[in-house]
Amino acid sequence: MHAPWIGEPLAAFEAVESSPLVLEHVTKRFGGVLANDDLSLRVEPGEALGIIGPNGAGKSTLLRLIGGLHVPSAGTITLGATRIDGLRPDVVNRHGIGLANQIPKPFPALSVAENVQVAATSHRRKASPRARVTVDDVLELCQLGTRADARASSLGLLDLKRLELARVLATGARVLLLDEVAAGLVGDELTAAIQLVRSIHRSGRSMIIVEHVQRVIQEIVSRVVVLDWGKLIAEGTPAAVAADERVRDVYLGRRAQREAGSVSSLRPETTAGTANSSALLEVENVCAGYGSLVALDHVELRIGEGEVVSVLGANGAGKSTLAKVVSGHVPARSGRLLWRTREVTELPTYKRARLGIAHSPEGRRIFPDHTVSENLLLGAAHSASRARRTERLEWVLGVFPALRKLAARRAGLLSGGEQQMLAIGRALMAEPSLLICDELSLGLAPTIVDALYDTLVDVRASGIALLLIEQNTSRSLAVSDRAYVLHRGRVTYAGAPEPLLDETFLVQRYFHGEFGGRHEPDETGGRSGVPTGK
Amino acid sequence: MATTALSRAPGSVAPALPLRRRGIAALGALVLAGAACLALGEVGGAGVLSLGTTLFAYVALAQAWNILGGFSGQMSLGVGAFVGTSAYAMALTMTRLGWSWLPGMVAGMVVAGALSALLALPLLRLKGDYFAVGTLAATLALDAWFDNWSFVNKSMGVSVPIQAVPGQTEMYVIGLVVALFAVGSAIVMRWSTFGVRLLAIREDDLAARLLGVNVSGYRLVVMVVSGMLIGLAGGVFALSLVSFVPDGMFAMSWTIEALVMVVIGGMGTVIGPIVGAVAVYYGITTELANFPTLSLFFEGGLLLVIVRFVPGGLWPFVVRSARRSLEWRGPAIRSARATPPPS
Ligand SMILES: Nc1ncnc2c1ncn2[C@@H]1O[C@H](COP(=O)(O)OP(=O)(O)OP(=O)(O)O)[C@@H](O)[C@H]1O
Ligand SMILES: [Mg+2]
Repeated sequence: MHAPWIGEPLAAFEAVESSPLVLEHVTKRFGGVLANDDLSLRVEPGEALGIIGPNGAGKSTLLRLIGGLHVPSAGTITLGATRIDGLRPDVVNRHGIGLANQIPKPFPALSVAENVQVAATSHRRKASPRARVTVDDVLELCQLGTRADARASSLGLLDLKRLELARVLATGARVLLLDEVAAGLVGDELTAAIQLVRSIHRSGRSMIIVEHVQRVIQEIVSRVVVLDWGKLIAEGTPAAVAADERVRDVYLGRRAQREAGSVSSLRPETTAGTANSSALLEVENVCAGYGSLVALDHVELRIGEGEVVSVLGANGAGKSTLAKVVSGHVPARSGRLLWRTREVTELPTYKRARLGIAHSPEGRRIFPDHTVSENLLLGAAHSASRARRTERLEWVLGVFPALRKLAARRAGLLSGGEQQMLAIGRALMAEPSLLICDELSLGLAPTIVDALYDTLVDVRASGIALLLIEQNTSRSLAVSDRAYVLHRGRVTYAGAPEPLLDETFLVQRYFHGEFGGRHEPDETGGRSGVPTGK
Repeated sequence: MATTALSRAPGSVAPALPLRRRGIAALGALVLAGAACLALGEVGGAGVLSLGTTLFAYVALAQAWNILGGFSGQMSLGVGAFVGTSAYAMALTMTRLGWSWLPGMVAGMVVAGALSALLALPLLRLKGDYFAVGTLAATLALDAWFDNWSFVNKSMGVSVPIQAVPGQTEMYVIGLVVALFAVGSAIVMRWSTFGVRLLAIREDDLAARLLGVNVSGYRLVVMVVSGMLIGLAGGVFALSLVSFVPDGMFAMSWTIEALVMVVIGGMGTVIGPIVGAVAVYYGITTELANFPTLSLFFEGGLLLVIVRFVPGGLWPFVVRSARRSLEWRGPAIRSARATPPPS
């Protein structure tokens, strides 16, 4: 689709020479937590190194140590001849190291362009013959050109990730530390992101890429390091590492081949006749938006009791807005929402939560200063007895065993993936009738994603309906009873998930408008996107 | 857009935003406003002159607080510390050294700036509430010290020599210049890359650090500039009061006035503090000058109403409303821009 700059996008990025980045015996302890354990690494000038490993393995900690956000408990970090451990982050940046955070840290009240400008002008380098890229160039490269004047607080998670990358590029760093910048991207957007990173790499910049999206690792880096419990457990080419038994055990998982056809069998047979399950939630003709922007345009959607429904669509199609309209975070401008035939359009969020609508929002809105178990208990239903809460807590900790060890840790200190687990776990605590998961598998290690999808089967077996928003489409379609595709706020497909497993058909629905006029909702399957009138 | 990359001189950082243009436009508007105020002083009588002088000093005070609190996010409760030191420095240089008001005022400004730099040493490490409490503590300590320092007549206070105080018209012009200077500083700060970085520090100082911004350096600069501007305003107050005591000059009420004005007008904007100073000082304090309790009551009431119903302050509210009524004509253009163009 649109990625006009692919080819030679970065004529503006002049070639640079970077120095080798060397880590020797680096250890980082947080109290009793050993996040990095005696790591020694060398990144050659112009090299792209990948780091993978389970959630909480210490990948982000390592990048933050290099970026100057933490000071190592032991060991040294040097860039060329300069020792950089213990230096302030702004000084480290001035040495040419730029860190793109896993959890974006935008300046919310500033516009997107201003965000980038902070980076572009934070320090003037001594006059050099190098041409610098402009803020506009960087925005275009990161596909943020159309959002330049928007406030950063209005961006969705994927755009925030782009902004994070854009800002680091604008600092002119020669060593880039990219922490999951491609998380949540699929298809052409992912291809575009990979192309961008590769062309930056070609300009001679060295980089360390932490990523759970395997395509990024496979297609960009030449060498991968695998961390587990802060230790280096494997190292080699992407192919060699992917074949490593230990890596498959702790990280990649055994289900290496997940063909679309084979996964659909995960779906229980019992749910074939969705038309006869009574309606749990009906979204009737709903419009919503922000300011003059229309995000949802006469959307119809229906979820039956205990049903699993996927909502697909390109970035910015309106999926998150739909989720927020259902949970009440964003008001519907017109249309109605029915919950078990009762109108809830005007009901405030907390009352909807009490009715049984739980929302695990994108970007993990956890309570950072509470501990993990406090976060979970806060998610429990208002009316639940203490015994019931504890029982529920046990169940959730069973779903996410990793959280058990972290129970007493402050949630704000968790790794990105751990926070994601916590957000989903907290939503599950409420024993909802409908669980809305926005970007379910974002930032989770493959093994955890496997485990999570396995649990979804349990979750739905316990009678909870699911509204899944997921970039990993084949995964979510496989467990769904029905699916919707949104394109620019309109429903372009409603029906059975199977037809969408066909890539070309899916793409056609994703970019509906560009392929001709407005279609009727698809005829296949049980057209249940149209309200049945029950 | 893409052509700019080619046409730029090498080595330059091309500002992509029309920041400089907006800053220059704002400075132009400021000059015009200054001329208008000057003209108003010519035609207005004694009432306008004395009212204007104090109002200008308050504009400067509010703007100085706004630069520190609104732009860089450092909420100070220590306005009195700078008003007081400046006023004392001015009075002392004028009485003991026989200086005239202009060098006296500059001395006040410099001493207030120096005090800022000194306070910055311990305070820069503090953030949020701790910073606020730290500035408050510094003010209380200074007040107590001056109350007991015989060199400055303890709690008896000091005076500027009455014969050295300029006349009413001159005072009006002095106040106006100080106010223009403060607003001009705010404009230069806001509409420059410096200002963008300041706002970034306010929003997320860690992220700013990661992008190479020397956060402590910026904080220090803003503290000193703000302290100097408060010092200038303090000089105007000292000249209009002639004699004063520590409890008055190091009082908490300076902070409260500045804060209320900024919050009512619109924190973090350039125009807001001016609007707030006019609303609070002219609209309430002077109109209800004979009913001090009532005026306090109205001030508090207005603050409550603003915080509850117009949380950003009056000026941003006006801007939003104006924009909304303009937007009526162009929604099609806007939504077209918001969605990515098909290629
Ligand atoms: N400041 C801190 N205090 C205490 N523990 C911390 C702190 N920062 C990180 N941790 C812990 O250190 C471990 C490593 O965290 P890190 O963020 O490096 O993981 P990660 O490999 O990036 O994981 P993910 O893939 O989920 O992003 C985690 O268990 C985390 O909870
Ligand atoms: Mg991480």
